[in-house]
Amino acid sequence: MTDVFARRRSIRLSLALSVCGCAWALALPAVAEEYAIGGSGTNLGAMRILAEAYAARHPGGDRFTVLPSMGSSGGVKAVTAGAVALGVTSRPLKADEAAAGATAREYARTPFVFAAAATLPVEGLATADIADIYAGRLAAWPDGTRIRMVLRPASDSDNDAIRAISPAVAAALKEAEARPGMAYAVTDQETARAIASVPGGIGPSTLALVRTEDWGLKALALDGVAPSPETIADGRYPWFKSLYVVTSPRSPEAAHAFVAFVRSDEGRAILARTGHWVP
Amino acid sequence: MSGAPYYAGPEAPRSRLLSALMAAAAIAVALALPAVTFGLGYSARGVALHTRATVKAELVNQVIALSPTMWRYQDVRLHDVLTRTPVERPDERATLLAADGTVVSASDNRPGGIAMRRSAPVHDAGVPVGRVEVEQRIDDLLLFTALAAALGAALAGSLFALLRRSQMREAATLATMLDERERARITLFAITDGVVSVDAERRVAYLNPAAAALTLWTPEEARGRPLDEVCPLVDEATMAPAPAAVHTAMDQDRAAAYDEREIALMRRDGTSVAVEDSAAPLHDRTGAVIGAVMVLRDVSATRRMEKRALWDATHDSLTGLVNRREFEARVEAALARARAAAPGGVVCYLDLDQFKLVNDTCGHTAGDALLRQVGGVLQNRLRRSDTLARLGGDEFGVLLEDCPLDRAERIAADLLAAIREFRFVWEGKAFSVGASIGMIALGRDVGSRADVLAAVDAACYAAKEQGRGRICVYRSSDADIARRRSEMGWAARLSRAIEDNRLTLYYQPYKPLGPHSAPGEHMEVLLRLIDEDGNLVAPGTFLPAAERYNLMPAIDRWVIGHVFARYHELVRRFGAPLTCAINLSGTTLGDEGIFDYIRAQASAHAVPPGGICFEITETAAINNMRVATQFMAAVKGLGFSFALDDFGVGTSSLAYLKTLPVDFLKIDGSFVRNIASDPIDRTMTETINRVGHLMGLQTVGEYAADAEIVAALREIGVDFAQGYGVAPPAPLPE
Repeated sequence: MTDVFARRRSIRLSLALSVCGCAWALALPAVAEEYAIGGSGTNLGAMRILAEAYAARHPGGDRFTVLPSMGSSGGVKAVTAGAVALGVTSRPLKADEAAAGATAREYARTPFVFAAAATLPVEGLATADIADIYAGRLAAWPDGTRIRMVLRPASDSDNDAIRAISPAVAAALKEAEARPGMAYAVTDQETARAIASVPGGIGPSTLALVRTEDWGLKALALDGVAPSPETIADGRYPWFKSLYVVTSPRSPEAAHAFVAFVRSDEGRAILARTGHWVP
Repeated sequence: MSGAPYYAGPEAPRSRLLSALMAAAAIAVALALPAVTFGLGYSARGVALHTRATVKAELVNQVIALSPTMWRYQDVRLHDVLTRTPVERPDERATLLAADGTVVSASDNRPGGIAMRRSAPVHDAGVPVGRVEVEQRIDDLLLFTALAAALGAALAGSLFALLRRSQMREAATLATMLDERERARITLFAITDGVVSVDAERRVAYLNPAAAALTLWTPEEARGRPLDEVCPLVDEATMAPAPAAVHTAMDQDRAAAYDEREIALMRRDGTSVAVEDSAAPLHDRTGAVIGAVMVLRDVSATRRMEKRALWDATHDSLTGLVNRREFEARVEAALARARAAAPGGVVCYLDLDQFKLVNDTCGHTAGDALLRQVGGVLQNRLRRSDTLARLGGDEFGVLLEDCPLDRAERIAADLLAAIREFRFVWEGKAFSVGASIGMIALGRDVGSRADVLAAVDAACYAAKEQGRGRICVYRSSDADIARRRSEMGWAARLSRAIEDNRLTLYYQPYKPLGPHSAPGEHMEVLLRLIDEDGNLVAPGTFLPAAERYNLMPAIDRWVIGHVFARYHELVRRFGAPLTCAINLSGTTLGDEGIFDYIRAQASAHAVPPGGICFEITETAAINNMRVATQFMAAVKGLGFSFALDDFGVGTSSLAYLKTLPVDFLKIDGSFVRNIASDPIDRTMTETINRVGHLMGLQTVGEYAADAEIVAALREIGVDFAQGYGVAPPAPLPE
């Protein structure tokens, strides 16, 4: 199935080329296009802000629309297939993805966090608490509210980040996945929504998402360290996710221009402001 | 009967068909169980898998609906759908394929192995854009199927084994039943008794060959006919119809037999055969009588034998007349009737007078013929209701039923007359026969049967003594008969005396009178009896009874045994050579074992030749001439001699002297007694003495009562004298 946007661009381009010819066409001013960005939900909030900043920087120029989350893999597939101009992921490329022509470039890092509703009277947890919550040993918040951990699909990269916290947490996660009645959320946004909407909810997220999307969440400190660009920069907060922009040979030039904007000072400033640390 | 196996025929194909059916059933079970297991499992699993695919496809449809252009890149969501909604099983793999078959998303499992696959289409606004395929391993199903196959095989094997065993058991049972049926059939064929089975209506259902032969009905003809038509039974004595035992068996539901009665089967040809019939009812499973089996046994031979045996037991085989036992039984019955005040009868005892003469001179065959002819003569003179019996020897008994004594006497006289008129002819010689009859009228006062027979015997004896050819009616006052009865008492006393050894021996010597007298000592051994009170009884008292009741052989043996045993002792006492004379009765001469006894005693006691002389009377010798001659010749072979006792009182005695091998002639005392005074007796003595000497015999004069007689004897030339004039009898020294 051919992506609608890509087909639309292709038709236009084909018409222009066929009517005007190549030389004449080169003499004409470029037509503003709208390109899609798709991929991991972690990246989307910041990308939306960057796209808006890019549009503001280039009035009448190409515009970038951030699609709903399709996950890192979906983003890579879409960009490889030409369905989106630019893919974003919260993990490096896999070998088969790279073999398919995808090229990834890290543009920022953001703390991997456990988020909770902003109203929850808890500010931080120990990693042991995280293990206990997954294992069911810690079942209620101090105010008595039942702790409801929102899980991610097994294939989601968040689970890799969670398991990386400690072997105890990894074992506890396995227990949680086998426990009935657990809440699952497929995308980062759905996860955020679930955490915010479920009483006593808590779940994996990133500081970037907490700051760029208005879900009413807060990032909890782990082992007494609050997640921030600074704490991951100085290593006190060791849990973070690297964020990438992905292009393919089928990506338009505009995509590369947008990537350049992301990596520009303005872009870096936006990223830093939205919970990213640009290495 | 055919020699072919009786169980051949349709059973073998039937058995093969059953075996094939059983094998088919077993195979069906063996195949059905795994097939059903696999089929149901595969179907159920297919439905479940299809449901899972359908659920996942529906969820994919939702993703497509929300993102119709970018749905195929919703990798995480699609993956989540494929793996978690519903949760993927470890042996399952879900794949989302685009319409062109490219894989859009797939779960991470790699089930491998043998799997089944179900798919459900995914749609975009109703247009198929791909499908969800869910595949799942079915190794476990195959394993179950294999287990089911194994179980099915085991069940099939067991089922086949059970069916086969049941079939074999059934076959064995059938074979046994057929075998038993065949045995029964062969038995019925072979059995000599007639077997007839009837149905509930008592119509013939079956006849075995023996029954067919008995009744002369073939089984086919008899079948369905009433039993009483095929097997009519009658009372053999009255020929009146007799109900078959079958009727009793069926009416009373029990085995029945009529072997007590003598019945006969009326055969189809009108002849009859003596049978015994018995019957037993046949029952169905509920116990109801459905027929009966009757057995007919041809007992004609047995019954003939029984009648013959009965006849033999009650009749005299020689004459065909009633024998003594039956006669006594009939007398007993008549006596009972007489005691019951019924008209009495008369019992007669008839003894032939000249039978021994015929028997001895013409032989036993002639004697037997004489008895048979006399029996016929007598029978012709009697009524049918009377009984004529041969009681033994030449004695006949007659029982005249319901006959007054005067009429009985007329009948007896008629019998005597008939016998007198009768002439027995044998080998051209005619013999006249006489008889004596004793009679007794039965009544309440005649005593027992034994008393009656003893009385009539005594009466007959009295008739003989009265001169033969007479009739003597017993009356309790008759002196002769009383004496006769006294003899009968003596017979019993004699028997006891022999048993108690109360006989004793005396002797009386001969005195030699001339120079030609045989050398040595001669004595006659005499017998005496010591009665129960110790008194000595002379032989004249008891010897008649001994003669009459056949005790003489035993007495003579007793004497022989004792004399032979004491011979050497006597020799020592009286000197040698010693000749002991022993009297032998006429009855003893006919005793078959007497010669062997003498020879044994002589051998046992080493009695020398000439040591014994046996004295026999002229009458005894003549009455038993042939036997006496043979016996005397044999005894003389042992070296012993003979004396003819009481010579001269008999008739025709001189003629017999030529044939009798005697050594001594004892002149009867009736001549000797008076020779001194009676010239006739002296002449008779002289004649006998002369004849004896002419024949080379030694002569002895008996009853030499005094010296005068002895002197006369010496003068005549008699060789020996014996009597009180010589020496009285004295006890034989112990």
